[in-house]
Amino acid sequence: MNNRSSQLWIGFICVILGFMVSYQLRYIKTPRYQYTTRQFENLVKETEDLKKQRDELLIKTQELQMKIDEIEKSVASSNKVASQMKEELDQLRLLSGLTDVEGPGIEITITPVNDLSNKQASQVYYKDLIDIVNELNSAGAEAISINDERFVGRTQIRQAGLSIKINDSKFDPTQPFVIKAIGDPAILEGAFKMPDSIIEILKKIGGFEIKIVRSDKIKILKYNKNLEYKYIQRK
Amino acid sequence: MRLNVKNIFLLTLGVLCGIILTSFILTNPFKPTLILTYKEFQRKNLELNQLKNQISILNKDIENMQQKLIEYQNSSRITQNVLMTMKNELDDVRLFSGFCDVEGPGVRIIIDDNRNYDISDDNILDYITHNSDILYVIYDLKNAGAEAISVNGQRIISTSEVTCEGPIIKINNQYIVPPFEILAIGDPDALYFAMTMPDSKIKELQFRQLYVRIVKEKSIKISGYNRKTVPKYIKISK
Repeated sequence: MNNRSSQLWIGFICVILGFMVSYQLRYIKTPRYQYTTRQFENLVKETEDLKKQRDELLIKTQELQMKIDEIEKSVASSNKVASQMKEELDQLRLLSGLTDVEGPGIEITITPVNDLSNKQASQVYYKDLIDIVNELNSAGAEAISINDERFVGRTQIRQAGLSIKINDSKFDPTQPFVIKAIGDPAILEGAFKMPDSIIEILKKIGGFEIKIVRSDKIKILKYNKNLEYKYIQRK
Repeated sequence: MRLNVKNIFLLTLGVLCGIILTSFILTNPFKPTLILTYKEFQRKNLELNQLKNQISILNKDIENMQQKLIEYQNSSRITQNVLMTMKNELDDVRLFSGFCDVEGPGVRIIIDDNRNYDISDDNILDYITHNSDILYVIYDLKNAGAEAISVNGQRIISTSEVTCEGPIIKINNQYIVPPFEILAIGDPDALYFAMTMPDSKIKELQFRQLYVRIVKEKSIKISGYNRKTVPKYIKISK
């Protein structure tokens, strides 16, 4: 019979077999995908757990704050010095980033895109963040946070090895950065429309997905670290 | 049907193929999965980090508040105690906000444009101090642990911007012109070292032939942010 065609069949099957064996070997040998489904499931579960924990803590802080406020108010109502001090405290805390605040503003999300279409790894540089903060401030932002790290007078934004350090918290530069700012939304957004602005430059370089969203209710968390002062003294 | 070598070979191949195929399917069971994209993973990861951040803030708050409450409740003269606590807090917040005058050891940096240039020189823009130069010097200082910084008398606080207004630089909405005097309070040696690192902004300015002078000082006075600010947009969130 067609000796040739049966040989062809055998060859064909051998090819498939070879392919499958090599694929199987490779699949076993290579480290698993960085993000497997199970990891993702854990992530979702952990997020849920933390959300619950946060809500519980939130209620607890509110209760404690109420008790403290009650005592301080009762003192302040009878004591003029105390009431003045309380007023100044509240004002300074609001201005310097020691309270959670909310108001109209914008939210910028910069997502480095690292898929097959990229030739080079895309990542955020700390200088990009410095430029963005500076432009937001020049557009009159009253409060700024990067990935929920509140920007205060002494906030450091720097390269630390492979990560970016903001307020001493480490962030992976290939992960998204969310920058929130409170101020006049139109002006804040408009500051990045200039052709030479940092956002436009990043768009031109490519490799980023950049979203700017205006909102009437941006919430910015307060500064969360203890700062030590070793060198400065009040005059 | 006759069993010749060829047929047997074909049969074994077929069986092998089947075994490998089933093993394939067994190792990758088709369980209902979420469609996971990298982007989604990134988003979830970010959310997780934010939650962790919030929780750490809350834990710190609770600790502070509980201590405060205990102090209040255990004190016999509550007015005195509240006043003392408030006074301490006010001192801390004043220092933190940059609204008060401070002094301490640090460095003084003078930067000036290079005025010895030829009008036909192509690099003329390199001889000028730009707003970004000042901005990055400020961050070099901050990242080296400076506790207070001012530029030509303008204290750097959380809302300070350094912008270019044509020939003039604006900080805190005030015009400043060269020579620029940058004062920073912190560990003088650390600050000086950071300024003279090969990749620092100051080194680049020196390379561009600008006039730069760095002096360590035992005592520097930096004035506080002196303009009244009334927030228009931010409100304390409940």
